[in-house]
Amino acid sequence: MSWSPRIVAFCCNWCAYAGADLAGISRKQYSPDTRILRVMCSGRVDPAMVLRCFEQGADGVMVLGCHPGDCHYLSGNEVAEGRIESAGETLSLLGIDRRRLLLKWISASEGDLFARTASEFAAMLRELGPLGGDSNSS
Amino acid sequence: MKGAPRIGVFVCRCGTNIASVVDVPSVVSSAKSLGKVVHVEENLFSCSESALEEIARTIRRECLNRVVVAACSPRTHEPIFQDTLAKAGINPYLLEMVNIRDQCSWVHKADPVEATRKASELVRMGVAKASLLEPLEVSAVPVERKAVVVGGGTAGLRAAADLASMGFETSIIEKSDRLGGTLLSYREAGVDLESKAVLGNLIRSIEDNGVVVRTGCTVESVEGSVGSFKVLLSNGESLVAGAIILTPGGSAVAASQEVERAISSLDFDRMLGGGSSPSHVSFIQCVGVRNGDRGCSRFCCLKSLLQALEVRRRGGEASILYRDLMFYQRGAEELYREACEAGVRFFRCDGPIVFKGGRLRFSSPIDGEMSLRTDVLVAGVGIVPSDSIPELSRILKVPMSSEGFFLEKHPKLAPVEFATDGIFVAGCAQYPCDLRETLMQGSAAAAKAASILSRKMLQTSPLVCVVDEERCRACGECEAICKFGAARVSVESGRKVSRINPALCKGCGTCAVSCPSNAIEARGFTGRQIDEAIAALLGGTG
Ligand code: FES
Repeated sequence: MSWSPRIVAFCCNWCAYAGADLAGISRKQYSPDTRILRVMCSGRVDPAMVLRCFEQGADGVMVLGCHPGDCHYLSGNEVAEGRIESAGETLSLLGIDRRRLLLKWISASEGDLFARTASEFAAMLRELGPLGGDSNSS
Repeated sequence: MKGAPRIGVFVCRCGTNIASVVDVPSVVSSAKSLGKVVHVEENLFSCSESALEEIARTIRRECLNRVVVAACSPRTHEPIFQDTLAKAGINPYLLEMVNIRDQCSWVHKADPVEATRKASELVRMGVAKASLLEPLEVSAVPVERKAVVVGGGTAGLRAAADLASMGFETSIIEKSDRLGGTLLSYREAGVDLESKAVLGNLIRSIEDNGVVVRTGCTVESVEGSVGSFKVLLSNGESLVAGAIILTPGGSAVAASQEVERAISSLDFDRMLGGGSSPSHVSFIQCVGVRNGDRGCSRFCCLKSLLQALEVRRRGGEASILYRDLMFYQRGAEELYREACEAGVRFFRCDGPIVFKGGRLRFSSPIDGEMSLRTDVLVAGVGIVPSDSIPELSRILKVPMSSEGFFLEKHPKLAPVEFATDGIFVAGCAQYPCDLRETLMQGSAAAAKAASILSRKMLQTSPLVCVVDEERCRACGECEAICKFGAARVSVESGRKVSRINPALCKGCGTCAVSCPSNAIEARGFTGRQIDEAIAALLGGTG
């Protein structure tokens, strides 16, 4: 059986999660490797949670929130941006390819973008291969 | 919740919407093997009336104290199932929904095996989170059906008149000794007759509706939150209010400081009102605004245009020196054409001007070096933020823009609201508005405030953040990051500690991540609940 990546997607309730709902309602087909974890805001995502995902064997993590200016809580996404940036730095230090952590803004009306993002991220991880390989290759 | 978790899992077939792709019986059987799960069943339509009744009966019969529904989106269906939990006698927040329709069957049609595997894993995550759910109580706070309006200018008067006419006890707090604000300066105008009529009307309507007016008075402090604010005034009085509307307005740029020997459009209004007919009048626009940090005031072009037309009507010459002409108001463009036909002259001028010995000298990129006979030079002054704004911003914890005006929650979605519930803004305190816009905003803010005041009780969501006071070291990170002023460090029985006001907290959880002592919990999305879900997904067999 071919290998498929294990992906955790933290989605904010108001935009990204709603975008995933819209992908469903409009039957946008995408790669089935992503597991959504709903949070109220991307500002809820702790870099420690992201690192724990990798620690426990996730091949990739997405943090998906509202576009700048659209966060339901005003600026949780801006805060998230800084935190995810620093989580990315930690990944590099650990020898993990930074591309395995994706921060992206997806609105409630962008079902199509959600589907594309999930598929493209999975495809990229398929190319990178399982998590363990990074430190040797980079 | 007392006793060990007894989790029930209900997997919805959604007719064929889920079941045609996801192998529901296999999801059911994998759920049965999960720890703490004592009951699993599938439903044809979990949200149908009969299924909901059956779920409630099952909860009672099996003594379930956590429920996982694997169906569609919590964004649409959570309230329905929460209601069922409540009917079955357990706390509605002991529910976790898993979306195997929008995230599995509808989007992975071509791959039923993977869709089924994904559904089982999502259920596993949901069960893990559910095992750590806690009962939460919705609290309701009574609403003071009263409003306080800060600022007695056009916007404030309109908002107060509207609210009072709806039957809400309304008070206006005005810093100066007279109501009317900026409009007052235009009162004797003569050109802008509208102002006088509008002001008269507004004052009559606040009198008729019994609005309480406090002049020569400012706000000292504000406590409480939406539904019940306590507003302490400089005269020692204390008012209670369910909602507060801020309308401190703006002030006109002082013309004399900006252009030598010029009078402001307000002074010129008074001249015209006094019946004077100057023979040569020149207007210079964009005075004190559009200079880097300050934007366009938008209505001063129209103001000068109206005055220039009046000068022409009285037989004088009128010239307008402009940088760009801004005639965006309804009817303004038509008025511009009328002014051109009436012989008002327009000169583009972006550089320095000299006004001496009855002549105005300047150079225009279109007309070259110019010298105009000028008896009166009028500065079309813009509006700058009122100096009350910084103080009110500090007292009420509401933000200002870089220009120093109040900044609303969202320019389109919430144009007269602040992020803090129960506080609204209208008029020139927000940006320079013309009379019509100011009136509309006053009414809009009143309508928004009324949507709170018309309720007897306000329900507050229990999905908020809470501080563990034992762990809190009062570092203030949460206070710094919270955009809603919900987290505050204060001294409690001799010890500094952070408290989160549940009436102000929106439950986003951003502060929980910022806390270096791990003392904040975001209810409904606690760190442990999320970690447990991650572990269930990745630690499982997959
Ligand atoms: S609510 Fe979507 S990022 Fe804050």
